[in-house]
Amino acid sequence: MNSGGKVVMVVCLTVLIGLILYLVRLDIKISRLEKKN
Amino acid sequence: MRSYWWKILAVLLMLYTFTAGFLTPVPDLANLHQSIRNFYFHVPMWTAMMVLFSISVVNAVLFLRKPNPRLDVLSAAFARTGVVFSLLGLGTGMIWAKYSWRAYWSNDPKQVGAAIAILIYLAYGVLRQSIGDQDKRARVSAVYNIFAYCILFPTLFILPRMVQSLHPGGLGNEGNPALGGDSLDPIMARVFFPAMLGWSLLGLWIGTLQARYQLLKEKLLQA
Repeated sequence: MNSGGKVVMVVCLTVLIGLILYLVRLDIKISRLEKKN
Repeated sequence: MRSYWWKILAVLLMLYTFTAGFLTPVPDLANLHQSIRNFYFHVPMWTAMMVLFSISVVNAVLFLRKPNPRLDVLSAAFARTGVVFSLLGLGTGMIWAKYSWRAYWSNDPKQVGAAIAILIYLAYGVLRQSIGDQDKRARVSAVYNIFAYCILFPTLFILPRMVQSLHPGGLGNEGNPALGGDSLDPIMARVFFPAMLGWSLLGLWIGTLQARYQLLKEKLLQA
């Protein structure tokens, strides 16, 4: 893979991992609020 | 909505798609070259959109049979999430088109059909905002949802196959790589089908979070 392709892959993976972490945190937060109510 | 096995599966499939999608070998086709890797993102995004809109319309139909505010919330949440995925699909398609067809927009029948479908669902959002009464809003938007879903088939699947198109499957260019068979390279199929499932599960996760948040918000407002 050329260097450009590696950059694209790293950027995409970073965005994906960030999105997954965000969704996990949001899911946990919403679950806590649902239990509270 | 609170079970998590399918969320873990979504994460694993997405990680697999994003790594294998860039690392596995792909056929070196004229015009496409390495951009064919977009096939693992662009097409599954549209697949996820169809899954989400299908869930939305099922909830709309169930609401019309037996009005329940929860069904209306689910219907709206999945429609909204479907629109997000459709915009992602359109965006990735335009980027791919710039590379392979030399223009972001070529008035290709499937591009135009997709734009029409997205506008119809955006109008669904506008419709919901314009009606103040909750019951009336739920009933009117459920009916509109069914109409919008039905329009997807001629705009995205039927008409683009009946005319000449830059997309595969158009007149004179029959075949559909998305349905496998001889049209799809076997190595690509090993990434493509898990990608379709992964993107769909991701969309489902985001849709359920939207719905749960809305239901919670309404419960707190009523309290």
